[in-house]
Amino acid sequence: MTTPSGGIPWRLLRGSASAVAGASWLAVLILVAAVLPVFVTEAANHQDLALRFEEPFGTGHGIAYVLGADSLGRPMLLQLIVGARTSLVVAGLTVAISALAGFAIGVLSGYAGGWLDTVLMRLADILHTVPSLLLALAVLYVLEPSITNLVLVLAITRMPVYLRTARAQTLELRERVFVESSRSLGATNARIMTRDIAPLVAPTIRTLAMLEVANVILAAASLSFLGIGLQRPDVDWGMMVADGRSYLASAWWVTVLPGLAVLATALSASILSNWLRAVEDPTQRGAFLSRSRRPAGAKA
Amino acid sequence: MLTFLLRRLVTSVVTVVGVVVIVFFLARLTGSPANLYLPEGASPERYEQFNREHGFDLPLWEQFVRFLGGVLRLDFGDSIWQQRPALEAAAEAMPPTLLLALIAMTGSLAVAVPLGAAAARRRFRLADRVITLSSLTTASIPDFWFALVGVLFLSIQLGLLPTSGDATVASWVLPVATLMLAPVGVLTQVTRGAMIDALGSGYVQNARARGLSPSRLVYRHALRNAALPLLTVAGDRAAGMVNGAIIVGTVFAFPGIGTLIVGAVLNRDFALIQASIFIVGVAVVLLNILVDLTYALADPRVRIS
Amino acid sequence: MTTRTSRRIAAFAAVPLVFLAACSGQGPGTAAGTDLTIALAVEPVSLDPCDTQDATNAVVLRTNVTESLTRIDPETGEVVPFLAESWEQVDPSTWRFTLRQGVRFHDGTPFDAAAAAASINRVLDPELNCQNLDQFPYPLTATALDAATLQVVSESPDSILPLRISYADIGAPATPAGEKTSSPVGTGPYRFAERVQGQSVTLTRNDDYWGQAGQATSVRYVYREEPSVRAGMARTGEASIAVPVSVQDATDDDRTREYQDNRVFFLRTSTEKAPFTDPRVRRAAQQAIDKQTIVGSLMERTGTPFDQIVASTVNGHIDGFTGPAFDPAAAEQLLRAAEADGVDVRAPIDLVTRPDLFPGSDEVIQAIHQNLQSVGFTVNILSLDTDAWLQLLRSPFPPDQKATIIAISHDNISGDASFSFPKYMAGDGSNSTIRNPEIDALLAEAEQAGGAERAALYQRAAEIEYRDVNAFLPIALQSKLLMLGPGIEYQPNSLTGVELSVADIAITTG
Repeated sequence: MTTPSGGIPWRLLRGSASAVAGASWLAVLILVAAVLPVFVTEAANHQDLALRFEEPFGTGHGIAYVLGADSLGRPMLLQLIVGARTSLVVAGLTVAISALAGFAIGVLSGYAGGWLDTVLMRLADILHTVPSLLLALAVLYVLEPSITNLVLVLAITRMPVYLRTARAQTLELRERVFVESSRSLGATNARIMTRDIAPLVAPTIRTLAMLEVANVILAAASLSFLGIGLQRPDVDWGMMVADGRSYLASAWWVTVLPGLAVLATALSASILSNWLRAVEDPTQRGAFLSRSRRPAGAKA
Repeated sequence: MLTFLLRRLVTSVVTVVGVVVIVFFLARLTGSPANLYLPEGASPERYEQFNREHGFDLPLWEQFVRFLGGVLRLDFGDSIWQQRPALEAAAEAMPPTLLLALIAMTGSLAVAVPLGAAAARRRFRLADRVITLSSLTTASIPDFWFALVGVLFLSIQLGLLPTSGDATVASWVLPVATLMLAPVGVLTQVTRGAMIDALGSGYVQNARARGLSPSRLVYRHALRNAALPLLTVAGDRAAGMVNGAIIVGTVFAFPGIGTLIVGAVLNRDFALIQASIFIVGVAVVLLNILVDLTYALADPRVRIS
Repeated sequence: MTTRTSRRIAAFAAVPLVFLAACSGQGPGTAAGTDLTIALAVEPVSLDPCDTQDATNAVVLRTNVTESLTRIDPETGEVVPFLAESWEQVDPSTWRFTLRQGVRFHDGTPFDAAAAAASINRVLDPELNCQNLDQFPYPLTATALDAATLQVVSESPDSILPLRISYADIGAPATPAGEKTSSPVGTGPYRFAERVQGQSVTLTRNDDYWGQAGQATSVRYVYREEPSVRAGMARTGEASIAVPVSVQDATDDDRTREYQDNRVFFLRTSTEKAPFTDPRVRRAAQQAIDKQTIVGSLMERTGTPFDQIVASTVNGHIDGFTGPAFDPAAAEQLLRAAEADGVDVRAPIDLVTRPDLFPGSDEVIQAIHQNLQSVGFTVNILSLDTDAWLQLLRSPFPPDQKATIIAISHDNISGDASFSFPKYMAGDGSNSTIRNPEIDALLAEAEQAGGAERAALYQRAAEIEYRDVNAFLPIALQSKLLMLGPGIEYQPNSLTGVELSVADIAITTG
């Protein structure tokens, strides 16, 4: 059986170089994003037009400008640090909210069945079909663009994935013998859901969530590209990539560096989740995918 | 089988109606279109006239009732932006998007399945690592960035491809490649995972013990096992291609429903927003039914009752 | 270093694609023969001759498909004959136009005074909701006196009617009266051939044109939203002209051409909301912005620092006037003084803009934001889409709205301030936050006046605004860039933004 609490077997990490690299990148990033922005935000947002497109790896202007400056002469390094916080907060919160909500609703839906299940699943279908762009425009228009609202929009659009996955697994688990025995021992439905089923669904959701980190960072970047993301002076990596795109030919670092940051982070999250899946019980591997979208009532 | 289809159709209708209702209210949250369509200095009377003409002066519930009445007759009203029936404009934009999505999805599967299978067979060896890393990388590149880099270098600097449009076969290359980016990465991973699963299962172990050759095992049994998760993810990604097509439309001016929806939203063309999303909704729902039916074909264990 | 690195990136990104490209076996098309392709940023919304006030419509139609009785000479700014040969003012509110003979519409019907009258009256039909109606603030009636004489009577005296009439593009009598058309029929050197919505508009040469015919046999307009893609099309020859292109995509050779379309970029403060209720605060905002540096380094070729809201070609422009210089210390002092008198100078302000105001406008706005913040304003950037931006630009303003500074890019190609000042400065102007009786009186008087007197009155109104009211923060006189494809010759002028005459495009090779 898989480690029921979803605990990560750190000892095994040493076996995989790419997993170590991914984990270290994420760890350093989280640390940097948690600690540094408080000290550097002001300097990061300070424009100095005299330093517009200062080339990277120069030495004349101090460590802040080691990665060059952007189109308004802001230090790229500091912008990346502040952007890291926003990107991680947006990605982290979005994934956490959508995963937890999707997880809870999915387990409830799958366990309860009946009309509740039908209603919740139709809602998920509907959310899945409304283009996220329209939702983004409407929400950001009515509620003003802010990190909170961006998270809200992204969380709503990403939730159905978790909901379906959790539900499909619950559908199967609730027929298992140990659930029956819990029930015959007099356990309440709430107890069965939280104690018996949820712990078995959790690892699947966790794997999925780590894969989604990349998706969310990219989705936020696409919104910035279309002009409906955050507003300056808030900055995230996606916005930096989008803003710098017109200088691709003349000042590559303005868009390539944040692009690489997105890439490295998304890659690290994917590698880690891959690795986690690999070290876990082989029978769990890939199972979530095969069950996530089976039609209701089409169980074997 | 028939009852299954009927049930799916009923729930699908519910979904589409739900989408249409949500979109009706979402669209109206984005503000009145009058300013966009009236010149500067237009008198209040002209604003009133404009709103009356398009029914925006009615209470919201009445607009909604009228709208629902129209939907029942498949009449979404006229697009104020394009000045023609909204459904016609939306229906016209759908074929290029469908074709693009079909090509991109077929292409993704054609690239991802062999790569994933190869990686699974050589698990933890160099080939596996290279394939895994590169597929994860393609899934992590911002699509608009890839599109712009593609135009800059392949079209402008090297002159290999047209920058934009859909006039020639060559102009499809970059849009298709942009749309394939993420699906290729994800599908490779899915194939790899499912095949490793299958290769480790008792069934395959048994077959191997009976002396079936490894390559036949891979292609006969393991791939069949991978079909279900592949279909699930491919179906999901295909539905998501409407969103991806927005980027393709914006950068390459590639016609399609994604660009049309963006234009409709920016032009506050409620009728066109509703009609396009109705069509997208119908397409997504049909796609889901198709995916479910294919499940049954791909895996006899999935009984459809 | 830069190019080498980017080449390396190119090579990296290119590997999987070169294969695909090789398979497809087709390179980019070239603008072969005399068929031109023009890459525009936005698709025209309407092709009706009465909707040419919007530049996106006009750039396709005007002087190509449709023509007007008079036109503005792009060199001198004078009103010159076009479909009318001459005109005279019979009394203060009556003008008579003698029309050109022998002109035919594309559908073969002759152009005469009746056709012109019908077309002009169509613009003025309020039910039709024409954009060009905006240019005709007073009701007027056009009647045909005989085949070659058209009489236009306006309800109140109008000294600039010949200029105004240049905004009425003449469509054929067959144009439906009660509804808009999407297949315009005019008298111009090119006839409308086809429109594929979302993709292109095609015009073909009118071989029976009355004037100097163009070299190109056809022209196709396509729309490319991304500026770099647009420029790329001209560089590769996929487009004959790309317009507009942004500074960073411009080339140093003669393929990139610069033109002025009398467009001014300025900010407007909401004078009825704190802290802008106090003129000192508005003056402080003006002095806080370092427009020399901002315009010089961010707008480069596309802007010059500017102190007024209309270009020097407009009669309301005051020659030699200079606004307050950049002086953050003075700005801070003004703010302190206002604060001492109880003005809430820290009240939050939205700096409202839209991403497509002009290429690179987002950066300019961010630089202005920093300037304003550093003297002590509390400013928040709000970048909206056009519809939302318009809600804040036009009165009536939402009552619960915060204090705003809204970014505006306003063009006036007519040369007459009546197309700018009443809208932006009068107490009842649709885009005005100024409530100044003195300005109102001057503007009303100017409306009735003509010639030098009219100009003097407009300039006096402008002077009051610039010296005492300070509701505007003028930033830059804008220029635009376009890019020519290989073998194409075209010299842009001040009207290129609204009438890109295909007949003026020369094909030097191919």
